[in-house]
Amino acid sequence: MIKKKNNLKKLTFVVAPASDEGESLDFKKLVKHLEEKLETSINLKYSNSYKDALLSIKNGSAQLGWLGSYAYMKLDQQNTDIEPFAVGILKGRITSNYHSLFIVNSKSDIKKIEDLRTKSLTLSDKFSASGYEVPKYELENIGLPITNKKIYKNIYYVKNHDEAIKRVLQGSTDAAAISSINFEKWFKSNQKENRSLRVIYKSPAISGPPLVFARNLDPFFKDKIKSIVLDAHNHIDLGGYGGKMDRYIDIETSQTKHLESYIRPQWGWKTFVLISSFVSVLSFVVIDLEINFLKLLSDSTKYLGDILGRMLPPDFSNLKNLIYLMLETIEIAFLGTFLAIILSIPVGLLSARNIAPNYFIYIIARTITVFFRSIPEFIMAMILVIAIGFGAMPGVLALGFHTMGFLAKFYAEDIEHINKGPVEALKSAGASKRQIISFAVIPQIIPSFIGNNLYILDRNIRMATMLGIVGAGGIGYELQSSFRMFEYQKVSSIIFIIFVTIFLIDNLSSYIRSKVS
Amino acid sequence: MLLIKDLKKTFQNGTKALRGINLTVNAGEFVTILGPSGSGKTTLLRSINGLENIDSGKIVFGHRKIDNEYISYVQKKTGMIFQEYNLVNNLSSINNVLSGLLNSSSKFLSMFYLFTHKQKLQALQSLETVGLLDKAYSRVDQLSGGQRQRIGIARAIIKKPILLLADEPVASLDPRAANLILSLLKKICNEFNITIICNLHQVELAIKFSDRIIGLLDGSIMFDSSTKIIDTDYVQNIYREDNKGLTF
Ligand SMILES: Nc1ncnc2c1ncn2[C@@H]1O[C@H](COP(=O)(O)OP(=O)(O)OP(=O)(O)O)[C@@H](O)[C@H]1O
Ligand SMILES: [Mg+2]
Repeated sequence: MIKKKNNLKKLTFVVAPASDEGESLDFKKLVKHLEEKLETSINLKYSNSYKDALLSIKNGSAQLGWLGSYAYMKLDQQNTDIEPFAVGILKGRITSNYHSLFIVNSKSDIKKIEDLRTKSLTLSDKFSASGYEVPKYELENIGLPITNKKIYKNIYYVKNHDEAIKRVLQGSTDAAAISSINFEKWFKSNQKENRSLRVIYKSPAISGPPLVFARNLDPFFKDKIKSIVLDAHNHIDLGGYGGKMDRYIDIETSQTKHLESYIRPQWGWKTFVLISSFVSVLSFVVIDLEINFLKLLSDSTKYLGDILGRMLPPDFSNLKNLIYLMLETIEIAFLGTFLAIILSIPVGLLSARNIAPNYFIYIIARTITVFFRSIPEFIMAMILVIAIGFGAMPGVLALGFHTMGFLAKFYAEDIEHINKGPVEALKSAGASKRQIISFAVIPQIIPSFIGNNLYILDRNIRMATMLGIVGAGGIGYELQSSFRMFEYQKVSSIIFIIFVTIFLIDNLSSYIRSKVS
Repeated sequence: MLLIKDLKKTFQNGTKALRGINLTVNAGEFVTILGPSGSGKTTLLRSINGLENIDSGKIVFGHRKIDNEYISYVQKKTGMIFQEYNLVNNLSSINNVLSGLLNSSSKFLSMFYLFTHKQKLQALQSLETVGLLDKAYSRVDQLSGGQRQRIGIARAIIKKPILLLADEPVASLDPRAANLILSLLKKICNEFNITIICNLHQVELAIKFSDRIIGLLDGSIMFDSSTKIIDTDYVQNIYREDNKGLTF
């Protein structure tokens, strides 16, 4: 144990050799400030190796210092005697983070770290994070471990990063791994030469190297040192690893800042552009259509009240006939849906890009689906009524062909988005295309096939109630004539019956859906 | 911390998946469950955190028997890791990890993927633990299998559970990634003192990483032994003899 009294008399501040002494590893002012505040003399000692620096704190010949990022890395296992307490933030930065960089001479043909095989590589001292530990890990990750001598022409170890840069410039090594802080420093102070180096790889961020003290120092004394260091930027110009420091902050704050530097907004600018352009289009449309919401509100309450008054109560005197017509309507829808399903299966399969036998057939099938979807069943029914006369048949045909277009499109999209795994498995087992369709494609789309058919049936019943208006059978004819005669109470009774029917169908189809899936 | 007594489970189709399991797991232990396919490993894990209703027997978590009331607390305190990762592929890693906090987030804000600064820091912290901080904003479907499983682990540990259930976490990974994932779990077990129960198929991995191995066969525990004193050949052989032709 180091006694408190001894501490106060004479301390040693040891510095590991990340860089040549001088501006980029300058602790003189900080040490002088500490001397004044602590009223103790402090010996600033630049060590020749990371290991010596580390050992001198462990064996008590130094009490505090700077050991590079290594101080964090092996903290749990070996360096329990060493306690990081503050980390410097360089001027103009928000975090203490830095990176390990792989650099080559600009003339070199090495483009990426994978190219380092058979080349010579310069690393730093084994205790340097950015010059040894991190590059070692990164190279291991791509299958070029530095422990395997056969992979590299040569691996050199140098005292510090400045030395490594020098060697790359001279051409005595093909590449080197160095700290981004040393690189930036060099880049700034060598404007003329700075095109002569090229960075081929940048590692993930490394937390900045901390100031440390011996863990067994007196706690009171440790607190004092820490608070002086954290406050030092208010009194002096600070230096440290990489040059002028804005300030020193404590380790936990630094860790939080490190994580904070990764935070990005949950929603990117693209989302905002999308939302605001949507809103602009919406407002443009509303203005262009001269929709006045206030007028709409006042008018609608006035007239809507009037018509509703005339519709109530519903007149059910004709109930038997209405039910009969409703049943006819349902039959039309049912038959139309059946027709649509039968037609849509081949058309749907042929209009799926991954199933269609060739592009020509695919295009034809697609054209068919688009064609029938684009003609409203109303219009189709009108034409068919003229062609084949009044009755249920034109309704069935109109619904069948129109919704065939829909169903075929649904199937085609489902088929195009099926899980490809099973298809590949069967293909690799030598199954034919038709076998693949029945074993891997159809089972996958069955649930949505049933769901889509039920939806189309539901929709066709609703549409069939209207087809009577053009004479294509069903309850619609009755609805229209009631309107013509201003028999609004009859109109409301028909609407009521339609509502009840749709309600029942809706429940029935969700029941069927729950049973089959 | 976990006590299982005479746990039985029969599925509706009559399969007897668990036939009376008795097991005590201590806090901070890394327990591996080994057993051939169909022996009931998954069913056991799912019973512990209430994904499966049990027929009889009891499970005590902490000091209380798990019942319908207590189960939501148990679920809050356990994390689960799946063989198939069960991540949402078209979301970013960080959003997947944040989904582990939904239980304790604002229902309204989280609907729009909005989280507090503190929660985001927690998520980044978890990502750092699994070594994927720099992939925080990558979509999960752009990551490798091993990386996805690490995201799965980050999601499981973000809520600071005391128990981690891992159902064959390395079954779809190559040996190197498998080693990495298990040493990560080991590290989590040691550093955060989280109890881990892990289903595995590989005897060597179980011996290398866990403190204790439990052998399950046909819904019953065949052996239960510390890895320090376990005889590898013995373990391997049990399965060979009892399940001719079955490998695990
Ligand atoms: N939902 C279920 N319904 C009916 N039986 C089931 C169900 N889930 C599992 N089983 C049966 O229970 C038994 C145990 O299954 P379990 O999934 O727990 O095995 P496992 O040990 O996890 O196997 P594996 O190593 O293949 O994952 C098996 O016989 C299985 O068929
Ligand atoms: Mg299983």
